[in-house]
Amino acid sequence: MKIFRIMILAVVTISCATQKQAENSTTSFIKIKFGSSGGFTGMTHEYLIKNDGKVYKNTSDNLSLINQIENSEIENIEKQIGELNFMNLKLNEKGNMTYFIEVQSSTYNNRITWSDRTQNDSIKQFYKTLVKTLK
Amino acid sequence: MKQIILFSVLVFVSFFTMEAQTGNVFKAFSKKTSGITKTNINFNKITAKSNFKSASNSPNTFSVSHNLKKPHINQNKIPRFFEKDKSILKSSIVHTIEEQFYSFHNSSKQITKLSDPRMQLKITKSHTDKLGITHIKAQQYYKGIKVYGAESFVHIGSRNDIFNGYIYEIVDTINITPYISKNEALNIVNVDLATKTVQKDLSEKQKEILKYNAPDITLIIYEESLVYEIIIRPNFLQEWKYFIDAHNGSIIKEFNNTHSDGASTSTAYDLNNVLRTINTYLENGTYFLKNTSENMYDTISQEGIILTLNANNTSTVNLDYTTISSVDNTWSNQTAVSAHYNATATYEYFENTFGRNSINGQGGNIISFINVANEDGSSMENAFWNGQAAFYGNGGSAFYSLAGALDVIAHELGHGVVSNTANLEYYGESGAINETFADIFGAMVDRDDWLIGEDVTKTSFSPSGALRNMSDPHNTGTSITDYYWQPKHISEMYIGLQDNGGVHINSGIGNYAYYLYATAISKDKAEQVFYRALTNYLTRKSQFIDLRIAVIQSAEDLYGDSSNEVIEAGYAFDSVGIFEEESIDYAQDYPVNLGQDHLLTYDTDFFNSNTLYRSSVIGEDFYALSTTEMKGSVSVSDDGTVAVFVAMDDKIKVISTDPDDIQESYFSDNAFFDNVAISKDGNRLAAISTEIDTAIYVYDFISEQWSKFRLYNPTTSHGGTDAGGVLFADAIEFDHTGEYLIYDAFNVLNSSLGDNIMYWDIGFIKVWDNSTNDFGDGTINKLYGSLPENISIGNPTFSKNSPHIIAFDYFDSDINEYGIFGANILTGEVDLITTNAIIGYPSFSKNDDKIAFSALNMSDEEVVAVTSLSANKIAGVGIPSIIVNYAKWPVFYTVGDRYLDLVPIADFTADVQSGEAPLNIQFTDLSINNPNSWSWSFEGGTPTTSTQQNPSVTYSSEGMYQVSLTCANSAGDDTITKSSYISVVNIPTGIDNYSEELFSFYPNPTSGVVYFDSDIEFELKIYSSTGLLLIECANVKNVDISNFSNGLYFIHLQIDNKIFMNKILKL
Repeated sequence: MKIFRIMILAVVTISCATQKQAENSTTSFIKIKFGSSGGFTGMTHEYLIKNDGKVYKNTSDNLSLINQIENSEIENIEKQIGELNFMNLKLNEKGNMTYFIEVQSSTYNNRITWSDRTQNDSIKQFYKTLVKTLK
Repeated sequence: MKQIILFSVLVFVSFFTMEAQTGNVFKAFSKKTSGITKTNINFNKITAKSNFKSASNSPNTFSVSHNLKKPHINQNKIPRFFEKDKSILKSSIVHTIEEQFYSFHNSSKQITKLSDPRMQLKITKSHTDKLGITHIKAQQYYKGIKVYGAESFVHIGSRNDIFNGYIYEIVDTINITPYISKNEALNIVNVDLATKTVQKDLSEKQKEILKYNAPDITLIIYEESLVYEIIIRPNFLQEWKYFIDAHNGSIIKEFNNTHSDGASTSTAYDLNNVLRTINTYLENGTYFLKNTSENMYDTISQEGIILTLNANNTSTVNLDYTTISSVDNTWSNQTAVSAHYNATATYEYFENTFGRNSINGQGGNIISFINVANEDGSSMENAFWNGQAAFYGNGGSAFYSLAGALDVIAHELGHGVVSNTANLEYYGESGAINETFADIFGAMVDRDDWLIGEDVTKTSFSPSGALRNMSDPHNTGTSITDYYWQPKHISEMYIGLQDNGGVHINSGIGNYAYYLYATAISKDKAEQVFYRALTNYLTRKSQFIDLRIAVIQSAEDLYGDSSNEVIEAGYAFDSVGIFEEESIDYAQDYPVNLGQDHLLTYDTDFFNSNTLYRSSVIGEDFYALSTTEMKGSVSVSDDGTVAVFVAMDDKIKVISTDPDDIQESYFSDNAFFDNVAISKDGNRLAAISTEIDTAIYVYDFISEQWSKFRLYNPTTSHGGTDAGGVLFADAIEFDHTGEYLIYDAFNVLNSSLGDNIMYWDIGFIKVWDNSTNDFGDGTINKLYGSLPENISIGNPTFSKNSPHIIAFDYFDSDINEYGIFGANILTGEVDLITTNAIIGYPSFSKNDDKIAFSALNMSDEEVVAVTSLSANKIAGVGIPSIIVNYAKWPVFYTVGDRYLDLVPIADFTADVQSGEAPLNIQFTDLSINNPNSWSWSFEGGTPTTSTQQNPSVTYSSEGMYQVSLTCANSAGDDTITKSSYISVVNIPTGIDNYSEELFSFYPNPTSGVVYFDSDIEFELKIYSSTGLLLIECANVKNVDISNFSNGLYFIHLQIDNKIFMNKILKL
């Protein structure tokens, strides 16, 4: 009986601890904007991923839904945001064609830009991940 | 008579005696090690640190001789060209291309002798060009069998139809059943080949490379016979063609069909349906869009190619490209033809116009990618340069395929030229200049107009049909809300964060300046001037004013200072509001001392007990002033009344220069000094000790305090040697302000080879600060950062009236030559005043028109000589003459008072000049000549005025603002005004994360009314794209913006103390 009580206590404790950890977990993104701008015309191409997995193309501020991604893809994106420490990332390169990613969460809003000359492979890899959501 | 030198009792002290260099000596000296001498000097220690600057190459290919046979003469009776007029009556029926083709042939049977065109001609390809003409290619057949060489075209036009090509009249009696099989025919070929060449089976890899699996055997009609056409590769190198009679097996014809690899040409239609000659390349039987025919091509490295590749509708994120190839050197990919031809045309422009060796100036490859898509796979309406290659999209609703425009190609490759020259930063003004040059190159390559992108821009996007217009940047637009509008004047300049600070917007200003300039002097001249500016004067951060300066200088270089080309350049930039920057002339002179000038010299006659003499400036009327033996020359105050020197007892003495009232006394009892100088105003002394203490001592008469300044070398390395440095100073002199000393110093550098490099050089040290009336911080600047190992310089002196003019001794130990040089430290000019036989200790005359110096006569006796100076005060004129015999250490001086204050020259800088409001700026006063009061004016700033020397100001409103500074001292005042100096942006901010269930607005885009759908209260503001507040309201159901100009606007919402932002497009 005593052992049983201890076991129950352990289970409850573990469950509470787990829940406590969940309450303290990092807030996921609300919205990610990404795309490119510049070139001969100076035009901007912008895409938007919302935290519900909907992917939009932004044309003259008219959002067109182009895809719906799976939770696994959302999780992968969140993981990369965390690995990059995106909220503290500072990158502001400019080029004839400039690429950008802007992540917005409930606690921060950070935008980075880079050009084709960038040496930052991890950012390019993250961008590729985002581009994959377009199809 | 001089005192006979007594041999003193030798006291045990350490002496340090060294020759400056091996062999001949610049300045001999005798110094003690530091800390030997006991003095009662209490000094402040001052130590300062300061700065006183392919792409893939083609593999080696085999070269095989080409064996051609004469082509058969066409004896066909059917003409190879004829045309037919169309009916003038309009038909209501719309015919397909196929219908039109066969209709043409049906009506031409009498000419073509074809009984049944539908059976005898098969359409192989067709396309319609920009003129609306449809070109239909066809192959003739006989009873279902291809007729060899029977290809023809029908060109369907609006007014007439044209035939050209070959159609053969074939008898109807040919038996189309072969009597020998394909294998039998192949055997006949192999037997014959064995007598002609080496036969070797191809490996799988070789087959893959050649894209060849097995002999190609086709039944054809060949000269009215049924024939097997066999194409066979007997080995890796060769391809043969055989024609075998299919009835009797005879070899009708055979030839070596191997093409010679290498450069080739072809003709093909581009996107504008213009027939272009393009350079291609044959490699292993396949032709590629690769141009190796230009001068830049290097056959060894195989660099210097122009290559066009296909991105296959992938984006640069996941670029999956392939080469563009053809087996027969025909090209139907018009986009590829355009890109390839235009890239070559651009390369040739740079080569022929500027002698530039390709985009990178070093014969580098020029690579273009066509069919580039957006990230989502949609057609890209853009072109860009990524630093290595150019990328072209196929357009969409706003643009046609961008490779079709020569100016677009030249624009993108022009960015490559900019990257490899000035490398202008792609942001703000420098980025706008970058874009201007790209547009200039576009307009100069596509030279017949001033439009940019007119061949690919749809009028639905830009009413003018061009993306930009260099002759009128407004381009039929009315404001920045029109996407195709650009400013043509600084007053219209975009200030903001979009478009990398408006690089595509503000390029209109530079574009217009170029247009005006080229119109005034010709395109040929203008492009040379601007190219020179780009490649020789502009830098990464160049601003509009730098562009003006660079262009005008380039025009001066090419056409002369006062040429029309220079004048017109100024007009062009004035017209766009880029005005000449106010130049500051720092070269100011002090007023000449109007008193009586004299000459002091030190007597070298051993038998004469007098030492110091005063004479006239031409060496007459001598008066003895002292009998004290001196260690060096005297130093005289500017009013000429007082001189100081160090006696042989190492003590400083002060002496009056009036022979009618000679007074001489010790300054102090400290026997510690080697040399001394007095400031112009007589308020301070500077002194050098007898020890190697790497220091200069300064005494202030007013505070009665000493400070010891540590000497150091601001530059610490000397190619290949360990860091070494200065040991001690010798000659010293105050400048006119009394703040700086100019001095010479002895240096020793330890070489890694174990040798010591010893030399003298000259420096400036700040020992006093007039603004604080206290000792300076001791910062040092050297006259020369480094000297050659064999050179020493020393004994520097300021001119009497020009604070930026000095003279100094010079010694070259390699050739054992002395000289005196003059230098302008503002301009950096240096010139020879006179050669000499010994160190000269130069001194400027009252009017700076002469230099007196120590010299040797022909008997090697010491004399004082004088030489005249040119108007620039740094070059000698004429032949020196001796003015005093048995003398050395001359010093010109003048007895009289003058003000040594110069009128200030006002100048300032700011830590930032542009940014978002509220913008906090720290201004720094850069005025010279010691102002003691400042009056600032800050248009648009808070505060609006200040009397601080270095004030801080905050700007809260958007705009461009002027700043003025007036500074003053007892000599006068000066004002500088910098217009449009500060630019402030006001960007509405917000976080647009509101739930769309709570609030939404529609439609977007809109042409009039915007409706708001909200369950919560809100406050609304609508801003223009430049940040102007246009509408402010709350809790409205709708807003009418029909009277707004078309373009982009910001919607600014406040909900529950949170701010949200969105954009709306007005059509």
